[in-house]
Amino acid sequence: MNTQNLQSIRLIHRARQTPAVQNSVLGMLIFVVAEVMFFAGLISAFTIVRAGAVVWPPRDQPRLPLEATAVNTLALLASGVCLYLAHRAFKRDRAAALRPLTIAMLLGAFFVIFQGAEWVRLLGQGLTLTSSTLGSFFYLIIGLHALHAIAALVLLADSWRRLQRGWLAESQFAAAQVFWYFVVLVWPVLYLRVYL
Amino acid sequence: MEIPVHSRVKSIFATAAALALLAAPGIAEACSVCSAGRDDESRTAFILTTAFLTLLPLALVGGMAWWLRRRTRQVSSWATQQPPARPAPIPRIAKA
Repeated sequence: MNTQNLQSIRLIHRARQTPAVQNSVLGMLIFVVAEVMFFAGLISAFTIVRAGAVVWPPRDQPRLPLEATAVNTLALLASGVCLYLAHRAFKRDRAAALRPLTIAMLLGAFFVIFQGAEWVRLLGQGLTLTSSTLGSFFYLIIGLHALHAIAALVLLADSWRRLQRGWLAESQFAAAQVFWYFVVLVWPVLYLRVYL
Repeated sequence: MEIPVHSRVKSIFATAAALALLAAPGIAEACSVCSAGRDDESRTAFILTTAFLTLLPLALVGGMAWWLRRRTRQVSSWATQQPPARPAPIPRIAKA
């Protein structure tokens, strides 16, 4: 076997050894695909119920806060942008990613807390899980999104802690990012369908 | 050739069953997801959500497969473009 053949065999071997996608990212992507279908099912059910209703939103039910939630939506989208900046900084210099990651987490936490405050206000105005179909779907869809947002925030907080201590693996950060991007990108769809 | 009595009874039952099935669509209107007799908005919602839920998984799985294929090609081209690492030199053992 000549040297050139040996070298090409070595190259092929190395190409096969390099993973195309990290396992954690692939696992998270599969999970996100399942979650997208879950939300798609909920949105479809909501759309059908809404189309079949004689009056929408139901009478004697409070109106959903459109403007305040629009501001909150902007905060969530900004947190997605900050996470992207953290990703870029992480590639150059790991320590530089700490600040944009902190801002992304704070914006995400603001979103969740603001949503919680809105819920308290709506409950006070009489929109409950059993008051109407609007209430049932609102708390189910928006509540499940809030649960996902909290879970993603926990992942981001873990990444932040590891980054601060200097042992954040690239694959772990990438998986947390995929989950947070899902939370950020599914929200405008929910806002447009449920609130408007 | 004479047809046996039990075959005749069977064919009468089969005909009766077929006639009963012809009358069945009237009952099927009670189906909760049947769009017959509903307004246009509701029917449109049924059609749109059916199309959405049919196409979305195909798009997601197809998109993921396409992205993985593209990524695999990228990684293999990077791996073959970079020069291979040279093996470490074998340390010489000093003779006693």
